[in-house]
Amino acid sequence: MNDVERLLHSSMVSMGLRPFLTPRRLWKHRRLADKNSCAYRLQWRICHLGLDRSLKPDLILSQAGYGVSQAWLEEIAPTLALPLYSAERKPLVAAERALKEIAARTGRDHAATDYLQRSHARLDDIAAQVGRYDGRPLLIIKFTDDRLIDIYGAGGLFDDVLKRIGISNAWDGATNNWGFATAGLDAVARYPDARVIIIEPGPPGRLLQSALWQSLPAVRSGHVATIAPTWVFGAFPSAMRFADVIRQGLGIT
Amino acid sequence: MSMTSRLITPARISVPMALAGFGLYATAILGYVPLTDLSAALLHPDPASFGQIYVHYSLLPRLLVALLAGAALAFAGTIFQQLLKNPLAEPSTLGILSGAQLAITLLTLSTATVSAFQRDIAGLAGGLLAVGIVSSLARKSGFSPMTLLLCGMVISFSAGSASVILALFHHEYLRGVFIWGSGSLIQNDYANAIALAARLVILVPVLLLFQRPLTVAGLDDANARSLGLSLASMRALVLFIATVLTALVVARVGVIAFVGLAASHAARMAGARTIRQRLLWGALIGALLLLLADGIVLVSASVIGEVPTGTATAVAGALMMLVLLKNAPPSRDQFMATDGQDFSRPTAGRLLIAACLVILPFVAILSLTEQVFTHGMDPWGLVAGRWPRILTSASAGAMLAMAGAITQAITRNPMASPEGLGVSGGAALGIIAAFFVGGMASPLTPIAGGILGAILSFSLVLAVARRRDYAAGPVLLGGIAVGALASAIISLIVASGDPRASYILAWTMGPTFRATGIVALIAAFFALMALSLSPLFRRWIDVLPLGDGTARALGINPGRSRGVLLIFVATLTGIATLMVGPLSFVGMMAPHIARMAGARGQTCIMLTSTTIGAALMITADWLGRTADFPYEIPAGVIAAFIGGPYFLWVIRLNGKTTSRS
Repeated sequence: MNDVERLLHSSMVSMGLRPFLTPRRLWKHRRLADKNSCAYRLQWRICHLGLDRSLKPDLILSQAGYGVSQAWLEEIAPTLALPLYSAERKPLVAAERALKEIAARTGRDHAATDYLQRSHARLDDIAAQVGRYDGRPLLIIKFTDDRLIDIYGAGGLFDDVLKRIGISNAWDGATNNWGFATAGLDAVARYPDARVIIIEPGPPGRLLQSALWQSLPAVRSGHVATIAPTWVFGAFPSAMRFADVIRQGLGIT
Repeated sequence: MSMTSRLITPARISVPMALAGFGLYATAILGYVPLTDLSAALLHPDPASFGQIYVHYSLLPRLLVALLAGAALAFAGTIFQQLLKNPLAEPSTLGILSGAQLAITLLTLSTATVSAFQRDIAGLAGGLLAVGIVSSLARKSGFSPMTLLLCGMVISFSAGSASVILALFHHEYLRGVFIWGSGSLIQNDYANAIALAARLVILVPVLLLFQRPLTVAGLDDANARSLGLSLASMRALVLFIATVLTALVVARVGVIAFVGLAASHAARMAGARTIRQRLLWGALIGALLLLLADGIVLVSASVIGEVPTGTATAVAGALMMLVLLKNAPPSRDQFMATDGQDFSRPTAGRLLIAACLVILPFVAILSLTEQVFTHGMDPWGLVAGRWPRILTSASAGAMLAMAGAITQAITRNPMASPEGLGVSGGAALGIIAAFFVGGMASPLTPIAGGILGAILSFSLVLAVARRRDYAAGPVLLGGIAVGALASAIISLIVASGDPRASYILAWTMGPTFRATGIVALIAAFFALMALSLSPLFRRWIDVLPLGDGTARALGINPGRSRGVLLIFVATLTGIATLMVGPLSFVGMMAPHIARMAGARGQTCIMLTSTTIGAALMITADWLGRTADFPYEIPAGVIAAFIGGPYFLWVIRLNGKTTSRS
């Protein structure tokens, strides 16, 4: 699965829908296709036109504004184009809206409302527990290699989740369309009061031993935590997972 | 003129470059430590002060790496230029950088964590392999500059398109490689600086031992032979060592293009004459040049964000190459004559065209109706879904092949490919620009961007070549420069981690699967237009290959007719590029297949190759559809994958025939 496949896939599973699999598995399980399943298609790598038509999917899900035009997809089956990372730059709100829209189109309103209710209750829980956190702003980073890091800020899913549970994000620099910025380690040093959250897989051991890493203000004061791998470009379920791992990572119980 | 009496000397251009480069670095360093702490930061930094540690363990090694890598690349560049008697030879034009990059990409995909040592070995293997292929092919034509550069370009592009395929499928896992590939000089310790210094300390003195033989290598082969040198073995040895030096540097710092080219030219223009002067001054200027480029990147990072230094040098270098081409004296390139002057069998030609016209619909119908992966589907449904992409592929293939036949005729170079005219690189750049400016909402935005980019870049190439009567050399080299620019920008986007990167890659690679009925009909319209216009150019195409003198004697203005034909070719290529991507090699392959099948005479070659091109693209489209079912591989990438090796095989064949005659 690629970025977009994962994103839409997780949203559907969360409300008990069985997506008609990804294009690759779609091929393998072609004969298992049943009328009640719901096909979604990715936009990055276009699936076979012939195959699409033979499957007669109930619904095609796509990221709005990417890939082939909606009219083209509509020829095959009804299409729902969902804006997730758009100019609005609020992916969490967009993800919730997308979930509801999918539910409405597939007659799963009840399941979706249920899921969202549970999720918001969980987020409220975590937000309440955050009261016991020392309030230090977070700098959420992921290593791209041993020199450069991605830092997650405004316009990203993680930033939205932090806002939702009431923790402030230290990164106030510019971010791209997907809500992250790429920089060297000096960027971390610009936020001496922040707690650095490293999304696994972390940096190689050699870097952790290096004088440069050891001299980072956050490292010297011991304000570094590691969290389990979490999907950055995800939808609502990814947001839930991030909220959980960040709670664990900060040791809030 | 003695060096001391000149206004410009190597020393005089080095000093301001050094001042500017070190000045920029000083600005950056003083952004981290106050002046009073400077000596402490440089010599014994306080572990409690991040600023001092950062200056000591990141900026200082970065400065050293920039100096060392720049010196090494320039040194190697001068050696390549001298050895191959070619002012445009340098690590990136010879394919070393792309070869190393592909090898390192493959290594990264095969092992979980890549150590610096493993990367060195992979870079070395990839670089040596690329140079080995390029030089073994070019040797047959006596290292003719044009053959050399075209081989290097094809190796670069083939390795590059292989890297793109890997990028399309493993985008998420290759981020580190892409960042390395884009040539970021950020350092976290002295490991790279020490490794580079060790390599230079050993390899540079070894290469300096060859100064005298290199001086001789710059002379004609005959002169050198009379001096009793075994030229072939000496060349091979020096080429080998210089490649090792380059690949070992590249493995550490990534792809940094054009520094070698720029530095050695600057040294020469500043008056470095002997090979020793050119090597040493070139190395110094190269070191300062990369320092300057990196200093600019470093200081502007706070404003425009992290730009890899390699991208900056590639962009600057490509622009510089265009300027050099515009002002360089006319080249003495030896073009290989085409073998298509035999008009004696017109009936065979007609038969061939007839045979092609039978094969073409056969291929098309096969692709329209095959049911390998779609058992039991309504055949009309299949045809309805598939005809746009098949018609698009066929039209694009036909246009590229026609453009290729004309390009090869007017450049008198059987290796010329219309993709090398700068149109395709420009279209790719335009498509990328359109994505970032206009977004992806409308499929028309990238098409408009592509057209605009193609027109702009081709105008640039024409402007460069105008003073030279649109001779083949400047046109093709200008195209190479634009292509290098495009690939630098693409690698920057891929390295940025933007999830749209793989989508943009797919778009620039030519997604025939996105063709709608309207697009297909437009493509077919243009292909038919081109076919019906082509008789107008028949006389030019027949006469121009005979040489400018003959053309003038027959009352044809060679410069103007070449210009008109180039515009025709560029239009065809531009339209086709939007459909099948910037690099299909169909335009190069089809005329060759036509000639091998027995087509004689430029017009017959053109018509035969047009049908062959259409059939090739339909096949590529079908392969792209089925090879990794149900995912699609863009047809252009498939064609490039077949086309690259084919191209090299043709060069080998050509080399043999020329060496025999």
